Amino acid sequence: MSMSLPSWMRLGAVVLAALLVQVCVLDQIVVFGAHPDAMVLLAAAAGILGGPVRGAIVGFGAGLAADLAVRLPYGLSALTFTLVGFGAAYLATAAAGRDLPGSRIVLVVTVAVGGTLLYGLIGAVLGQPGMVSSALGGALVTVGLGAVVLGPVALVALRWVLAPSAGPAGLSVPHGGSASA
Amino acid sequence: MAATRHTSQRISLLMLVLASVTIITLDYHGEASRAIGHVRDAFADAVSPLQRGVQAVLHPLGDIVSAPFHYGELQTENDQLRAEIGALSRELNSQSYASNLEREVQDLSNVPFAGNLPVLPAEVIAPATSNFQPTIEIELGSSGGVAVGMPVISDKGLIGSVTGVSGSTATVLLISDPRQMIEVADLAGDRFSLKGEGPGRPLQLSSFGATGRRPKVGTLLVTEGQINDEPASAYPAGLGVGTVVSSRSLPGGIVTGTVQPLADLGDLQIVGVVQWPPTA
Repeated sequence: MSMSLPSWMRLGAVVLAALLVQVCVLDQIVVFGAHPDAMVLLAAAAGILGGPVRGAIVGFGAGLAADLAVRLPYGLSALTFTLVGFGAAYLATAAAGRDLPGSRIVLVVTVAVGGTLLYGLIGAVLGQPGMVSSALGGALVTVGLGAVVLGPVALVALRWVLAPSAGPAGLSVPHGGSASA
Repeated sequence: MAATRHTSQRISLLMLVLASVTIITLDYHGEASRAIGHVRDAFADAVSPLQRGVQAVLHPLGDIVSAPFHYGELQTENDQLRAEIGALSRELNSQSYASNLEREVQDLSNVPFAGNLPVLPAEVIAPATSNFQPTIEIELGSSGGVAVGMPVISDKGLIGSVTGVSGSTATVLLISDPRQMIEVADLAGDRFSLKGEGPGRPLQLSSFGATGRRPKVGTLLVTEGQINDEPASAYPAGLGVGTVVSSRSLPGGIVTGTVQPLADLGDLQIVGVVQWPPTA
């Protein structure tokens, strides 16, 4: 199965919408000194629903978009979310067969929190000061709480993005194996 | 078959990771970094009207969502606020919100510690855009005379410096960020450096080498400005930064301690950009 042109267009629309919601709305909601993160949820949901390659690609795109809004090294989110999308698919594969109600939400929350931690660690490795500090705890809690609320929305959005189109396939992306089969 | 698929997946991952690392590397160097900066500035310009509109409409929503998580803090604040209600209600009777805001802007323009330096008042349109960098976005950019490196104050004291400017907005890195290092002095002339320790935490104080005196609790620290032939300072002299909360002398005469910023960095609405030439 490949990712069709309509899927790419839907992905662009979802990433843009998520970025605007992040910058205009979610950034205003500060809890424990941090705000919820919609962009990491896109990578997590794509990995869970679409497999490792699609997860990584969506994570890379969402990360590049997210990096436009911050003044940290450009590409830091792209690198982190690529790994998040890829890793989410493997976690989903490991959890396959235990399809309990809400298990995908638990996965999204776990991956979002893990992704935020990974972002801080990679930032610290790149020499950015203050990336791993006591404030990180607040960020992990807030991103986790935000993922509980926004995770289902991200899953619905990514299911729509990755849905097969009726028309002919466009730009081909090798299928990385869906964890949600 | 499965092995081939796994290899293909890993190659895809490797390519995306390499692409990300390349972009990060380019951002650290010269022309590409400037180009990325322009794209970021264009994005900031494009979203700022939307940000401003949504902020005006949804500002109370953020407070409502945040409130349950800060219950204890809010109770203490509530007690203080009750004590202020009388005074505020009298004030509200005589002045509208708009004129209060105007007065706040006027106060800012006449901040005594800013001396004769021109101060450009600006409204805060968004709090930090990253959970890893304490910043604010203000509704004044290069078209309004703002440049990277300019100090930013509230009516209480220094809050940070401009780190990014688009045509209509600017990003201010707050003094609580560990990237911020400020040279300060007390009234006795003893020099110290202050370093951010993250949002909501006091600044870290340390002396320049061995010093005989340690500042007392409550001592006001102000920016030191340029001294003789030393490299140009990032801040003009005399901007109030904070008061000493604790200090101690270490063996060898080194002094360390903590400093509480004068301004409430978590509640900024109107700030002033000091037109101080940024360091080269």
